[in-house]
Amino acid sequence: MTTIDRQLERIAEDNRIGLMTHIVIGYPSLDESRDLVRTMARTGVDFIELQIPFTDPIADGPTIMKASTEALQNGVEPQQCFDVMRELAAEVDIPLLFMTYYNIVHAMGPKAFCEAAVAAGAKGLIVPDMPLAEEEFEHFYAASEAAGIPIVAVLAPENAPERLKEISATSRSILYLPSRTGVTGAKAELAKHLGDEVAKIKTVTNQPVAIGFGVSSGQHIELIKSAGAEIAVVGSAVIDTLEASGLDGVETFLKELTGACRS
Amino acid sequence: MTFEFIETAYDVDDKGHFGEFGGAYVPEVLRQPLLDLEAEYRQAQADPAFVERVRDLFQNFVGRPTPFHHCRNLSADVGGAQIYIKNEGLTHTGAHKINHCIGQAVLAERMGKRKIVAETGAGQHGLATATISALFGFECVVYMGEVDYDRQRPNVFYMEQLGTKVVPVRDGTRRLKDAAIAAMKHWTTHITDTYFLLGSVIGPHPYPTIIKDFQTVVGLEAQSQFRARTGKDKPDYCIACVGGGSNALGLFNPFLDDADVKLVGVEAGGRGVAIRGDHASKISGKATVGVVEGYKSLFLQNDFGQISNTHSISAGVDYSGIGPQHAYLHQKGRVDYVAIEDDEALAALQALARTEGIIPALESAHAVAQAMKLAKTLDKDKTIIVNLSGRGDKDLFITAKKLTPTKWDAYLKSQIDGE
Repeated sequence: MTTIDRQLERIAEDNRIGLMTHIVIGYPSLDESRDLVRTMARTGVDFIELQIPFTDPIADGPTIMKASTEALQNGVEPQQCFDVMRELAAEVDIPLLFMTYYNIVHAMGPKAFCEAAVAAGAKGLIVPDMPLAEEEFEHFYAASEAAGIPIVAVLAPENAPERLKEISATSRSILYLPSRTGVTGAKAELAKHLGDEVAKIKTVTNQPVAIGFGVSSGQHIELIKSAGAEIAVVGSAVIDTLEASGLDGVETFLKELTGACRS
Repeated sequence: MTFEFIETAYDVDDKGHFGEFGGAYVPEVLRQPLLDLEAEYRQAQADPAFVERVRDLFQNFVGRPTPFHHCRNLSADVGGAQIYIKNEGLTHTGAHKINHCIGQAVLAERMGKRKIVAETGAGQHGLATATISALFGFECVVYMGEVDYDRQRPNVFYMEQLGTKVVPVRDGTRRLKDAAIAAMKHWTTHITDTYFLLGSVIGPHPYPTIIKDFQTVVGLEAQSQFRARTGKDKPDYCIACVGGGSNALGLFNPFLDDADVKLVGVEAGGRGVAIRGDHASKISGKATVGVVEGYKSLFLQNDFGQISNTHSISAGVDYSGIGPQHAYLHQKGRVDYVAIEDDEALAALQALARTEGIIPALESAHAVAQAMKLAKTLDKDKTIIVNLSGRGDKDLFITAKKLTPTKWDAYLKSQIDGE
């Protein structure tokens, strides 16, 4: 059983949904991004994505893109991100995942990247621009399997059932469903079709479903819960809160979200 | 009318790759739209009505065939080989970009899409996109890196007059690659009703092939015009500038399977290729294999996979990547890629202007500079075709400031003070 599976069991035992949050390593600074992770873990977050910043992110919305640009301007490179992962994974007892873009993986080599991620204590990988169709050229999924680190597959809203089967067969971990087409970023309204989407996924697989993109309030979490998903993902809204009201503000905000997960 | 679809030994394979390059490295949300685009495009290619519509617009809207000019004076001045120019600057909107815009507009219309999103560097692709959007009645948004937005104001002005919304992109290096990413994100967010009208032979499959196919009209015309003009079967060399590489592939494509015709792609050497950040030359500048903007190719990047800043006097070739088919042609040794620096391009612009009465775009001036260098080394009976991808009007604010700084500053000041 993977660390992610154990965490999912705990969430199920509590009869609630899980919360996954997101940080960009090096934003606003390396120290502050570490503090963010500690705060997240302390307030009861279940999973945290640690994003390795990349110059050309094709799926990031403006908030995360700006954070990545600033992290890169701070001189953050992948090696430091592995160091941050190593330090924090030893410190917090929830699964930490790496999120990045495929060029970062490719530059290091998929095998070396996956092995280094495992050695640093990462429990999963999210690489949205590495599709199944290119696996025969990249061997990234094979490398992750060999290294023993699962890939969180990102779905598309309105994927056909046959496609969902294909993806879930490769993922063997959490399936990440964007709440809408587009890029990341907090939005006031979430799509109403989430229940149908989750039900469709559940007809082909029992794998847990995480819903992200635009999640920014307790009400959104209620909606995700009622849609039948296991995990809500909050990214940009945390950064927006950090900028508006600092780490204390993030703590208050996360308590509201974890409360909504447990309600 | 010469436009037709052709096949070569260097075409994309059935998995969307050119050797190890190409592919479609995109988030899942873009997978189906790209599959749909490819299916629709393959059907369109086989539809005579589609081909006829493109031909008609090429002839009656774009002004094709474009002139093929023997540069007798320049050739004599330089000494050596005979230089011929395929003048895409005389298309409507003044650059080759209109060719793939026409093709994609007809495709978008066929797909029932009424909204267009595009990226642009120098503004020529944006201008051509805005132009066809006006013609077809499409709603159009063009993303442009803030640096390019500032240095290519005339094109921004014209795009706006044509009814297009131009959005300056302040992310990253604020150049073409950042505009391309912003446009791709816009497409992702508006996927159901919007056609992403890409502007070079880059991006995820099938875009590099679609763009190349519509640009091939340049090479097909040049081939038949060369034969008619010289009585010879084929030129010795074809030369074109390469940013992403659309005009170069357009010229090269009909010659790719003929090893006797030497093909030269000219990249932006900027201030010199020795230092990363001073140039945009992927081949001479030792770019490495990467996966960016949805495709695998050669990119100027650091050891960790972060994409580098680039520099060129010319926005249209100031780009950190290169089309995947070019990377493949380089790897196969079919095309030679060289770098021309900013100053050499400016000198070539002046030489062509004074000897032939043609002011090229700064991008194309790189190709002219290489042709002049090469011609000197060849006999008089050798022939070189240069693709002049566009005319130089759009670069006025850069070239005038560089070539006549005092006069130009005085003129600008008089315009501000006097009006």
